[in-house]
Amino acid sequence: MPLSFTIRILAAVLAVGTAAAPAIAEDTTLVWVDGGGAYHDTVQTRVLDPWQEETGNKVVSVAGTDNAKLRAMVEAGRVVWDVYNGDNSWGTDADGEWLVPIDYSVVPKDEIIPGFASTYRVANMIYSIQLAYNTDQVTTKPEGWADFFDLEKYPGKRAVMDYSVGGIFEIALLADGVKPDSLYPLDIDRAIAKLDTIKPSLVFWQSGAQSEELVGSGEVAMVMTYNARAYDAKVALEMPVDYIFEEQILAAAYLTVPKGSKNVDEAMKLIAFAVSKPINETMSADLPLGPSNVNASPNPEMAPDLPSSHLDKPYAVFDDQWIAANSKMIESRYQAWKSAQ
Amino acid sequence: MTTAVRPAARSWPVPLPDSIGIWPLLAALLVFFMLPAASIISNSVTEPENAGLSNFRAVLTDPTFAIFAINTVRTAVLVSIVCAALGYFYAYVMYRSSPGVRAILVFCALLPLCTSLLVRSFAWTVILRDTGIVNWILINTGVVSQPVGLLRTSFAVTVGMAQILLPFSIFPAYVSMARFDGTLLRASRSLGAGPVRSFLEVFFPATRVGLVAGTVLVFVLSLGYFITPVLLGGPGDQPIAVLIDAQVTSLLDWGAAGAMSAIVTFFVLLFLAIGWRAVSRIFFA
Repeated sequence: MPLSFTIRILAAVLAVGTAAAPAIAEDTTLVWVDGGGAYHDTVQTRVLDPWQEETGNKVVSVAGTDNAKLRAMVEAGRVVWDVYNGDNSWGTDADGEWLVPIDYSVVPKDEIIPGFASTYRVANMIYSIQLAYNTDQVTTKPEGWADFFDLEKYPGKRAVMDYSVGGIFEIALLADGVKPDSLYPLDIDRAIAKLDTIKPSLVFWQSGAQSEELVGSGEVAMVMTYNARAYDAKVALEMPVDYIFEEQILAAAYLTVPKGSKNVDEAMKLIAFAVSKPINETMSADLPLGPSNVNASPNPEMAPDLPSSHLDKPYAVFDDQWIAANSKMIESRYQAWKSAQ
Repeated sequence: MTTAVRPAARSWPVPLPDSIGIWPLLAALLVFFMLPAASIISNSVTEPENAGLSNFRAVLTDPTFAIFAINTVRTAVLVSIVCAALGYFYAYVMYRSSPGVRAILVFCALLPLCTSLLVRSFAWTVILRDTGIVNWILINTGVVSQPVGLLRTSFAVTVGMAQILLPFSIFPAYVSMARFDGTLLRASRSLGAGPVRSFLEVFFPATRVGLVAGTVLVFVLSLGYFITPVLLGGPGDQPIAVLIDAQVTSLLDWGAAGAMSAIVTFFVLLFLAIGWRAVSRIFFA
């Protein structure tokens, strides 16, 4: 009797474990995944809520993009995500193994800024990596990444993104005088030599919220961060923070569909909806995120804070194809450099 | 059932549980921990296809892996030393206290275990940073004029992890003291040994097993730490867990991650085996 009871419990445990995943996957509700933060709220109110109102179809949004998790889902055949809003390093042809090609009979490719719609992904907003600083500590406005590396002129610590392909090597090269349009292929040796000049003053941040905290609290004098985070720290959180657009590095967030999604057709329709003019232009309603649709006109009040309003100043663009092809080398060089004493 | 289990106890390192109630828990452990862990580790020889031992060769000859391994072991040693000293001392104070005070001490030692590890690690960042309370006091009392860099150092990692792991060294030490026969101390004193000598030659040798058991547990647990060194440490304090995470999340290299996990698991089991006699004497005697 006790033994059969044990077996019943074991069976129940196993049944719950194996039944849960398909139960979610077979649902027709779309699942949207993005990186979270204030952006997550913007997506909910500006894209997903209107979509549900217009089509009557349900969509659930999840915060926390994770390329490894997506790959694991695809390989296990248990894909519960339908629209994956990844960063610029995700979704190039190198990731084709895990993605469904975008259906350009549904998604209006000709309305997207040239270069921002490819086989497996289509951009839904343009952002940038920029230099932000604490206004209590930095009283003379910096002019570019060279000032980020100038500890004499601007004393204090510097916070950088703890992500090998997030732009840390790019800003070092820009500071060292490399022209923005000749950044790639990245000269990693040169970048590391430049980074070594300020290594003892570097603080590495892992999440966007942390980058705001570091510069807002004055623990660091300057930070390299996403432009929407710098804006959030200054405007929403009213921290003593300001930022510059000189030598910003432009990037885009991309919509992709994981291979094995049970709702591919519906996902394509949602992507087409998200990048359509009326919806795409609302990306700048609450945050300084530029539209990817050429016909979209961004929120005029947000214009001074949009990366795309500052293209008269020097700027660089991430070369996603080169990064994707070399990510393993970049990552191992980064880890070796960072951990070396 | 129970009679069948009893004789087998001798051949196992620990007596097999004779209560049927433990089996569902063991089953859950198998399904939700052992099987996933085994599948992660098996990636080391199956990813990419026909990998054989190539992942292990690549990992073991990678100088970056060596740096992270050294970081991990150095942190674990520091934390173990701090926990051994503080834990044994705390247990001794508990042992010498009245039952009422002891209850309060037990409560204080257990309380941190009930709060989230992430919250405690983050609390340390707030306390130790340049604009934090420690530097505020140091500056306002005139001890220093510039903030002392406490956060993102080995010091911060050691303090943070030692605070979290301290209960694991306190309780084994206390168990060994509670089992200590107090009349031995009186005998030693009546035979002419002073309090210091009695402690060193009678009390300490008899309770050393608790110190060893606790230190083994702290050391082994330290090897797997992730979020505390990430939040509190500098680039030179990052443990292997960070490198494993980078293999999976940035490089999607499950093979290398599996090989690294296998190596860490091997050393965890090795250290547990070395300390097993002490641990089993404390927990299963």
